[in-house]
Amino acid sequence: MKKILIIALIAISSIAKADDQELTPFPGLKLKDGINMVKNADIMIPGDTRNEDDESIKLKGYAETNDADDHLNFLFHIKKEAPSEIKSYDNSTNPVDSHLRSSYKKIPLAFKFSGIPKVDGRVIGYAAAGGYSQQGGWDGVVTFFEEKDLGICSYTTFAIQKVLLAEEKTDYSVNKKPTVNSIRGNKKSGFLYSLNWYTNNRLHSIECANRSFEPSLMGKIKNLANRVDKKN
Amino acid sequence: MAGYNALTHHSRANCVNNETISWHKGHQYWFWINSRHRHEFLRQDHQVIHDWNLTWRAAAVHWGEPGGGAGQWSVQGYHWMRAQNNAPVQVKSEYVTDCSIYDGWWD
Repeated sequence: MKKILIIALIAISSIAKADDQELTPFPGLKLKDGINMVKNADIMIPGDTRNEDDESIKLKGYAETNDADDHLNFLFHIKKEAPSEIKSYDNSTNPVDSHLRSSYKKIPLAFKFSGIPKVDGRVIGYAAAGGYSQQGGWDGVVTFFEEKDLGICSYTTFAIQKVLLAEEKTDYSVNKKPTVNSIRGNKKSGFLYSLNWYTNNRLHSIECANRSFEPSLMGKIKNLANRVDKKN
Repeated sequence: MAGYNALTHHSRANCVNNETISWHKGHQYWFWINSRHRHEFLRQDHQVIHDWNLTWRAAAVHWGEPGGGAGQWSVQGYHWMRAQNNAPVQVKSEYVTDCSIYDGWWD
């Protein structure tokens, strides 16, 4: 506890002026709950690589990275590590345990979830995602699966309150809902294909780790996303 | 504790501190946190910001604030993160008037 207090003490924080207005990371924007469509330039934040990505995408078709993305590595390894984790935690009765399970029905969920549709592959496991409420359970879940063409993938959904989407980067390819996609990686580490789509109160995301760059895979992910979205 | 297994968010009021915290041990996220503190009788109101930072734990804390006035503060916490495709997302907000950790930190 003492250590946690010390870490919190050095956290980057500052006291803002007293004001009736709720501060947000984007004080110049008037935000509403749910989806907010804004200009790309209005939502640049530290660590944002969109401008560099655009240059790389023009040249190569994907956003080239120097290192392997943590999530890319995580997906590549999960197939090997899942069986032992599921064996250890599948019967845990702790509701806040977020280790892998063999079935989403073993995770207390606060929302209706019907799983993913049948894929040419298999489900690797399920884990809690988002936040946990003692009243209802977890507001999110992630499904890890393997698909013949796509590679090792995850479908994640969890509750949100607001999201800001760049008009220039958003299309409506998943059941006419605001959708953003990206392909990031390099030839050495592999590629992370990401597709996010949003409703006013949920984020949905399919991410696939694949050793190869193949532009047509994003179209296959969109097809799958449409099926996942219809099912849930 | 929940934050050792998964991402967790909470606010607390009238403890030694007034605070709003998001954390997930061993995982890095881009976080932005606003912890809005109100003194109900003096009508003091200010917001403590943890600016965008890639970290496993983001804490907007006003140390020792309740002091002798403990019991008279409320805290409204707002938790923002950056989604995989760079979209800023407010994932949770909560209003609390006591020191319990509720959905963030219990065993």
